Amino acid sequence: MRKRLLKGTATCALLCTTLAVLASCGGGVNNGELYTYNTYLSIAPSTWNTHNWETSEESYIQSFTEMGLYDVILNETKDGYTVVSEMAASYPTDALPTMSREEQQEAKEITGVTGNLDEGYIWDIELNQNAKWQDGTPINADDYLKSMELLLSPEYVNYRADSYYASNLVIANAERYNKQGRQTIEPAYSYLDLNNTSQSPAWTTTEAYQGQAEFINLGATNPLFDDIFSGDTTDVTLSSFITQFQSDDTMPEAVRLACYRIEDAVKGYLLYEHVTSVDTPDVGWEEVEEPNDIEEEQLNEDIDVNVFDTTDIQVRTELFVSEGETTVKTEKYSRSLLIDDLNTILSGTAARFTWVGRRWAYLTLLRVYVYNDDTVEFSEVGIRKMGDYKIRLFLSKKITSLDLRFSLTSNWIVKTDLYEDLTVQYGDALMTSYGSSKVENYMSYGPYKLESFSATSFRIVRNDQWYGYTDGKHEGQYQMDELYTRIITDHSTAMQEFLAGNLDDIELNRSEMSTYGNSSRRTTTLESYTQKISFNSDRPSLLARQTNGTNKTILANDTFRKGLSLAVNRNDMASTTTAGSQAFTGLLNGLYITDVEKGEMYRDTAQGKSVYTELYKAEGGDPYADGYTETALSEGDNGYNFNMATKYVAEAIKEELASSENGHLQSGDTITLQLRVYDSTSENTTLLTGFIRSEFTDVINAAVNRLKEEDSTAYGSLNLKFELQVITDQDYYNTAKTGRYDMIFSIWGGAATNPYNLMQVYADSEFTNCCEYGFKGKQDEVYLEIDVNENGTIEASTERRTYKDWYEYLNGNTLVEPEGERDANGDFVDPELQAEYKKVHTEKLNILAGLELGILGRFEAVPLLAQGTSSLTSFKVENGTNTYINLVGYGGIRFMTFNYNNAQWAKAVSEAGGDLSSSYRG
Amino acid sequence: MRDTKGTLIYILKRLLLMIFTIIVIFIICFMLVRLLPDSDNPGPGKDPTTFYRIQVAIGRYYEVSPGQYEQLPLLTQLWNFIKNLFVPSTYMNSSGQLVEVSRWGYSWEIDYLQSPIDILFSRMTPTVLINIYSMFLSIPIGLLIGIYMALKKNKWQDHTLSIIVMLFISVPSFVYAFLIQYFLGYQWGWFSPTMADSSMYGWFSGTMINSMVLPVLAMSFGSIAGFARYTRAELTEVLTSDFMLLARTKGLTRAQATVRHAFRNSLVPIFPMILGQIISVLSGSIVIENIFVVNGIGGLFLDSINKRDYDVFQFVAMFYILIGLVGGLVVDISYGLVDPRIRMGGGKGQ
Repeated sequence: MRKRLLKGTATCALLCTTLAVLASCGGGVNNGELYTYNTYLSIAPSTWNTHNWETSEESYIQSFTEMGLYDVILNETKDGYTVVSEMAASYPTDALPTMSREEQQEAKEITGVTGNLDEGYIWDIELNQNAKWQDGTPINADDYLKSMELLLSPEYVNYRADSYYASNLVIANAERYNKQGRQTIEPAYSYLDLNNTSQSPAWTTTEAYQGQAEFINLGATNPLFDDIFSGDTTDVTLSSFITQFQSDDTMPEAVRLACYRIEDAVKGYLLYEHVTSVDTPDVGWEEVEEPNDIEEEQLNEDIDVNVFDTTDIQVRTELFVSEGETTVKTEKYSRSLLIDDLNTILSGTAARFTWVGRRWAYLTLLRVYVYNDDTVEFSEVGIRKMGDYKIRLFLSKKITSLDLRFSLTSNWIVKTDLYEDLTVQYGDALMTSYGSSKVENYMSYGPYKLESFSATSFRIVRNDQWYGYTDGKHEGQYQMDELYTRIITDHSTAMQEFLAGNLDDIELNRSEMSTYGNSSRRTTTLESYTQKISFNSDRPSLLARQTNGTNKTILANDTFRKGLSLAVNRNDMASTTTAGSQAFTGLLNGLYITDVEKGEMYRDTAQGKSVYTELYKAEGGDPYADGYTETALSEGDNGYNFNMATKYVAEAIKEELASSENGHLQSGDTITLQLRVYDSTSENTTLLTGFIRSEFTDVINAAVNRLKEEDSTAYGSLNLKFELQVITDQDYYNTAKTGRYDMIFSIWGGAATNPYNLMQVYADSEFTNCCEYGFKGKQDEVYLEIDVNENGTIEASTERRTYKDWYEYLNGNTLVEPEGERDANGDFVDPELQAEYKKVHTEKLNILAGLELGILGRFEAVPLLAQGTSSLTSFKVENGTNTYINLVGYGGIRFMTFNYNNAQWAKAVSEAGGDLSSSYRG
Repeated sequence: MRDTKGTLIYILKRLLLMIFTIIVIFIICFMLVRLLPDSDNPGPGKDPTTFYRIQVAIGRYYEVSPGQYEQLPLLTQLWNFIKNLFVPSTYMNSSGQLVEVSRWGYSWEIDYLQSPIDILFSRMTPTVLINIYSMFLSIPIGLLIGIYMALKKNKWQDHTLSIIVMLFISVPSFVYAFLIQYFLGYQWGWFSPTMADSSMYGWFSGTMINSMVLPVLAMSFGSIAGFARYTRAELTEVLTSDFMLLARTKGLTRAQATVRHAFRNSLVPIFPMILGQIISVLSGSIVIENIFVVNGIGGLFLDSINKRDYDVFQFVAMFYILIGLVGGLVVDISYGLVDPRIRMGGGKGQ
């Protein structure tokens, strides 16, 4: 032991001495020595095409070989970040003030702005004239235009096509151009030739009508109604149209009956489709037991009329119940009967249309496949060449200069001739192998270029054509000469390679933290993801999966879930089950920025802090202690109070035992909850699920014991068990969406610079990826009160909205912060602007915090950890900063300096006996 | 080959059976891998339209109605695959030439838009080299140890070696792979602990060969133990046969009798084993390749299943099935070649 210690100390001393000597020499790059950074990935990227990447591995190579128009880097004092121009020559300028009246008119047409064209829509970007491809070809405006054309091309299937229309940066007509040529279902009325006097339908465009299928949709609008009714008919659906006819006593009975028959048929079919024939009903359909239960919004479904020939759907044959009968008579429906009924309905409008009475008239009430021939030329897309080295962006959504720069930190340019040469047509789609498989399939233009690539390693070396090495603006940056990345799947091999000096970084796993957790070379990188448990709180779907002797429905009890949340000791969880994550109780962790220019972190704001205070203001102390009074839970406890948890779980058990609901908890039951995970065998998952199992079991047992102690008469014989089943389900997010689950680990995060938009995950009823079944789909029904103006009272008209409405209000065009010159503190120079900013910004923060609190208070999404990783960095290199800085981390390769060149490092490692393990121990 | 006609008929029958087997396995593989649960949702962050457009393009889904996609029936997918295998579709490339799409489809997950054939063969070299080196090492050493053990039957040498042999047979290869990597690679530094980069060092440089020593050793230990045990068992049996007594009474020395009679006879069951080893040079070891960072084909098969890279899986599976079937046939035929008493295709009446 002593010997090992001595050896470790000696090695450390040797490395430190060498390091000090070398540091005094300074790290140069042109001294003839090679500085290689050796690293690894556990998965090989299958592509690094900037138009098509999906995973972090697939964006890895580009981070060295490509460069954005702008980049976020460490500031001069290395204690914050700044945005610099890279592939752009300067910051973007708003083009509006320089545009003539004609140009402004044209810009309005392109952007689709209906009112006055404001600043923030048209931006000019001067391009860096020194930028070149690795083969020396200059990069000019044509490259940007042609690359954008390829990215957005409707023929290519590019995953990244939506980057320039589905985010903050919305280039005008980009989406229309990208999505043209797709097939949709539209009202046939718009495409029928109404002057056609024959009995067969004629279409105004042969391209538009795709096939024979005809659809009926009671919940859809139809331009026909504009012609039937005068005035604003935008909301008139086929359903509301026939409802009017049904209740119109002046209508012939046959017309009214036809209306009822159609309603019977459609509702009957929807009931059959969604309730009878599907194991688990769709969202919202679980409460539908008979046709009348079907809500208006549930009618919006295109039904192929042929289903009435193949499905036994009964419709009434009489308007009123015959004498002596209790119900109306019915008959089996069919497509031909539907056509008759539709034509009958139209006869009610006979006086207005000459075409009523023709055999094809029924089609005017139906919908058909339409080929989307909304032809958009690329020239209509909002990007223009304004010179060889200048482009202009026309946006259909206003954006600030700062946001635009952030949005353009990634680039879209590709070497277009190579891109097209490598294109393959497969099926109807074009795909390119540009940026995959081989070095020859790619062209770099960043500080480094790809030198070699194989499935187990790739080498990236200096790109001598990069402007940054000669422009004088990158002094002291990019000291690394080459980057050698190996694909090492096996973690222990990677660890051994690191300890042998063959790798310059290694990500630690939980078991390695005990050895290297205190190392001076350890860094923690936070991620903007929150790991939480998403519970199913929907009683019917829980009941559907409950078997005799087990209970799941208790999960629908809010108090029970709250108890479970308070039972998780997140501090212990983080330290015993993860390598770099932190205990956390919110949805937005400490990385989210609410004012990018000022560097304001959401969690540092009063509003951000208030969420914990409000949520846990009464959850502290021991509720079973004598003289207990309501106490706030300290922040250091991170949402953990076992005795309070026990109290809530006991309350919930009492409530459920006394419940009269079907399938309620009974003594003798085993509360059996399934936790669905991606891989139940991974070390991380095993540790986490083991921890959860232990915490939940403890609290339920403690609650049962408390109940027995408190009231032995009522609960003396209470017998409850708890079982947590860990289920491997690689598709668990989708399982959760259907409600066939009890709980999942859901991990969610987003762009750190836009926390407001991330609320969509929780507050948008139509957002498909919401995992909290039971709340999902109800966000537009459940109301939330937020004291936006901080006056202490809730104004019903403005401060009480549904979750969805709050989300939309927060991200809409109402709460727009002003732009203007700011001082060193990030405050506006103009006091008026400052006052306006403060008002809007405070409102936004209040809503954000209110939404977060509202969601957390439901205890369907229970946060556990803010995700992070721990890594060791070798003595060979030094990070740009020792403090983690949001958006730029530790400075990245750009600011990394080398203590050793390759030869020196090899010598140092050799002198340390080829094993650096003792040096890295804390 | 005294019954050439019978042997030929036998081979022909086996070939026909092989074709039938391949077709059946092809269909089973195609169906089973597609029956594995797979997300029919692009997942968070992916544009569903793009995801489904790709799925439609590669023939897995069809658009039921705008925005509504469903998987094509498996039989339709199978038919499309077979159709493309024999009559691949064509397209006009950027140079105006008519080009065929890859008959075996493309990789979508492992190596985007590369043909499975290219992927497999690009990873073949390191696997084959390691296996060949391992074979050259394990066959002679294994046989020699086996012979020695048989000759020293029930003596301390035999017992000692038997224990070692059993140890190497029983312990999983990754255990001693880790051990030799740790000691010979990292602690003592005799050999490179991971395989060198062929793009820098080539396949036959000193650095490359040095870096292959450890994976070759790890691959060889099990084979050496297997050959030794088998040879010992066969040779022990032959050495106690009556004809060995006859050979010795004829005046042959023990060594002459062992080499000329016993060893040759014991080779009858061992030779097909060696042949099997030769054929298996094309297959890689997932564990060994992972530990020693070998860019081989060991992980490709599993990777293609895990990532649902269907076309890659189908080609790799069929390649190995073909190798396996041909190997089986060659081994069977080799019995007749090694031992003329074994006749191919002999029915009961013959």
